[in-house]
Amino acid sequence: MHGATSATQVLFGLSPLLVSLAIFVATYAIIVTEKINRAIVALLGAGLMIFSGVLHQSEAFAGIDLNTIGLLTGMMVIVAITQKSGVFQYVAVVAAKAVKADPWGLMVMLSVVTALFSALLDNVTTVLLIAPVTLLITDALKLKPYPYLFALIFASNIGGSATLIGDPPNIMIGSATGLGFNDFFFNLAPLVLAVFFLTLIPFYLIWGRKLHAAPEDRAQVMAFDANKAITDPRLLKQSLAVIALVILGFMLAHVIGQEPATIAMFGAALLLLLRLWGQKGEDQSHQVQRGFAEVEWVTIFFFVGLFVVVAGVEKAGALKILAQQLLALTGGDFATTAFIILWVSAVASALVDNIPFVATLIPVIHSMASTFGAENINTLWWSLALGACLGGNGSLVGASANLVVAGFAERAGQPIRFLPFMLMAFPLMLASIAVSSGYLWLRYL
Amino acid sequence: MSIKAIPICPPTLCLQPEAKLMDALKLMLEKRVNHVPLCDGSGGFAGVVSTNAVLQALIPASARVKGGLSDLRFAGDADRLLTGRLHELERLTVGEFATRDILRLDEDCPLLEAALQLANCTAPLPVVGADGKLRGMLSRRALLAYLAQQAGI
Repeated sequence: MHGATSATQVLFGLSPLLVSLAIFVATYAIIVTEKINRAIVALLGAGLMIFSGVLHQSEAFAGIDLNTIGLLTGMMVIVAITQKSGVFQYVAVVAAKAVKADPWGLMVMLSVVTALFSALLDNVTTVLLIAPVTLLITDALKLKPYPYLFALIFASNIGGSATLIGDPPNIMIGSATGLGFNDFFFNLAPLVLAVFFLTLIPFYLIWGRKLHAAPEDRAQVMAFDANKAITDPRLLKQSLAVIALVILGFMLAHVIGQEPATIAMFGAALLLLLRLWGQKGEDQSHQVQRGFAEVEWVTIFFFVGLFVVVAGVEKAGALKILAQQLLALTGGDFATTAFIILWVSAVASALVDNIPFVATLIPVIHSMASTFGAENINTLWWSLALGACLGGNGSLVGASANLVVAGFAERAGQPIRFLPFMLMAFPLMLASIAVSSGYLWLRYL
Repeated sequence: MSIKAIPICPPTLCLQPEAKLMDALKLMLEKRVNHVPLCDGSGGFAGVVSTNAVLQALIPASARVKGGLSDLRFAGDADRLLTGRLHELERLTVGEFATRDILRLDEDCPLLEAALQLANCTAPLPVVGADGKLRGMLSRRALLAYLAQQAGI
């Protein structure tokens, strides 16, 4: 960590604290307006941190968490290749047929599938691939898709909270703290499971008990042939084998002494090798280019820019002051601090992008270790992870996955409106945070 | 030289916007054409209906829109879905269904420009006079026939 005194040579002799804060606030404010692409804003903010003299380029590079970047990129390549096998559609159709296309059973099964995929892969890809098949099935059953798409959004964000790799905030927290796949799984998954099933209760009361589909429409869904959804069986086997290996690698990361980024990148390279084995050089280049092109570079560069911006305010000492203010507010009480982090993260993540919020709070919580002790600090990480991930359910803009579902629904003529969604989603999100508070209280405080 | 010189198909199949979509479909099937222009009461161009647009409307939105399913083999025939949607279209008029945001050629459009626009799209294009009235639909076939005749081929 950098000290406040090392910030020197700032333009016109201005205070590094003020300059870095001005750049930080301007960057975040423009990101929130969504007028300019967030990756561009973050990179401009990063550039200003260097040009203004708050950071040297070497310090900016040091601020970029390559473990987060590597893990995200590796998983994105794996998912981009895997999705071409049709596995998502296959699982969704199998799930629908397992409940004999019963409308409420379908909602539960699609939620379970989405939550599981979101826990192991990224949320955006999961909903991107499950939403179309959900719409097709509800179309065939002559059911309104809104409740199902709503459930998909919730399942995705809840499922993603359970693991290290499920949601970007967890990846960032894991990378910054050294907490591994098993730490996240054993500490968060029990709660996530409870939140998931508790969330199904209001879904049933609001929609589930009223859903009905004609037997002939259900027969039509039962006639779907899941096997035909698999468009490339060889690729499916390769992808599942690599994903299983990568997850095993995450689980054994501490034993084998490797970081998640190395495991994910190695898995991506291995899957590309299996996919391209025996192909000509030119075909290989083409396929590799396509695989890499599907990485969400906007997200990756957004992360790069944000890490530098946060490194700037951290070096200038602003985050240390924020941590001190937070501690002053809570009176140094550990439980109060944990609850404040949980609830503030949740509300903030419902309204603005949770990635910049988490990027800012990570160094703040780090600096609290001296007050609360390194052995207790993990509770604060779980507070942040739960608040940031579950908070994403609070509104349509709370998480990228929400916007992806909303965008697809809009194109398909089934728009999800901001306010009606929020009126229902925000209280449900708050309920999940209340359950999380109880969990933290009982288990850690 | 402009496309005015080409003896384009006269708008004999022109429909009023109030016509039923299913009547338009039957007409297109019967006359073996894929596009029918619409004219309002004063002969002004009011859009086009096509067999492709009707077919597109039968496909579930989950596959029709960007980011949707690219392969529907697993859904089988789904005949109830297809015929059910066709019944839903029965209540529509051609005016409600027509594509209005369509490239149109002025009757003074030069031949080269018309050739370029027709080569870039898959359907005949409406030719509209300065008064906004439809002169007819110019197809690639009509343009090529005219050029072949001019070249003495």
